[in-house]
Amino acid sequence: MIFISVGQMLPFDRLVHLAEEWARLRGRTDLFAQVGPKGYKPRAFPSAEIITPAEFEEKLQAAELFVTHAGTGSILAAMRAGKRVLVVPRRTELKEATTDHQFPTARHFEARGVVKAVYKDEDFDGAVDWLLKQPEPRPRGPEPSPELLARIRDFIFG
Amino acid sequence: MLAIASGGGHWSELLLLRPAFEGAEVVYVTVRSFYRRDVEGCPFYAIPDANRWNPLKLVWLSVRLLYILLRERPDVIITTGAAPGVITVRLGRLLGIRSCWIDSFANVEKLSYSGRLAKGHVDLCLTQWPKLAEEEGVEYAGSIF
Repeated sequence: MIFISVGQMLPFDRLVHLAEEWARLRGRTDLFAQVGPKGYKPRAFPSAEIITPAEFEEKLQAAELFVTHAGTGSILAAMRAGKRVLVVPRRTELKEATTDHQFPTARHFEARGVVKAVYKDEDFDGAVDWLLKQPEPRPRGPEPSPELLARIRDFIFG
Repeated sequence: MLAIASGGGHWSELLLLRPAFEGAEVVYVTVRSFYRRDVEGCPFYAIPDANRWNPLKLVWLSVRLLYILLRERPDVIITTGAAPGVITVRLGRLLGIRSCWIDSFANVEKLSYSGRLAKGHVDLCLTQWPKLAEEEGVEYAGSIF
C-alpha cells in the first residue's frame, strides 16, 4: 500500500493528482490519500480529507511508501516509523503555502538521506519507481546536531 | 534553569534539546497541562496560551510569568518561542537573568516574528539555518532535526 498525506492544514491537489496519474500508469489501486480540507478526491483509490492521529499511524505502518509534502511533522513521523519517504515541497506561486519554506526543509532532509524530494512534477513517476526499489530504512528519531547541543550546554553552564 | 515553550512544534523542539540540559535543575513552563507527562519528575508550570492577537491575555500571561520567575529565580532561561518566550526573556533581562532564544526549525526564510522581538533582549540568539545567521546577525550552531 502507498500512503499519501498532505498534512492536516491545507489541501495539496497537485500532489494527489501526481499520485493518481502514477497509479493509473502503473495500474495500481492499492493507495490511500489523506487530501486535506476540501482537497481533490482521487477516483482511482480511496481517500479522506482528514484522518485521526491513530488512523494516520495505522496507515503509515502499513505503507511500503509514504508520499507527502515537505512538512516536518510528516517527515519526522515517517523517520520514526522507518519508511521510505517521497516529498513534494509546496509552492507559494501555486498558492499551496504562504512561504516557500518547504524547499529548504526538503533539501535539509534529503541531504541527510531521510527523504527523496521531487522538485519538478515530471520527475515524480521516476522517483516513485526508484524509491520502491530502495531498501526500507531503519526507524530513527530526529538527531539534534552535537554542535548545537554543545553550544547550548556551554551557554547554560558557562 | 527555566525552559519555556508554547505548544506543538515549539514544545517538541524544546524537548529534543534536553540532552543539553543534563546536570542542570530544570523548571519547565508551557501552555498545556497534559505536556507535564513529557517531563515527569521535573518542576512544571502550565501557563495560559496567548499570542499577538489577544493583548489582554498577554497581560495576564506576563503577570503569571513574572510570578514564576520571582518564585523560581533561575540563572538561565532557554526558549524555543513563541510569545511566552518573548515575554519571559524580556522580564528576565529586567531581573538580570541570562537567556538563550532558539528560533524554530520552521523559520527558514527569516527569523520568526517572535524571534525578532526577542533578539535584542537575549544573550544568545540561535537560528537553525546557516543562511539566516548572516542575514539576521544571529548565530547558527546546527539544527534540532
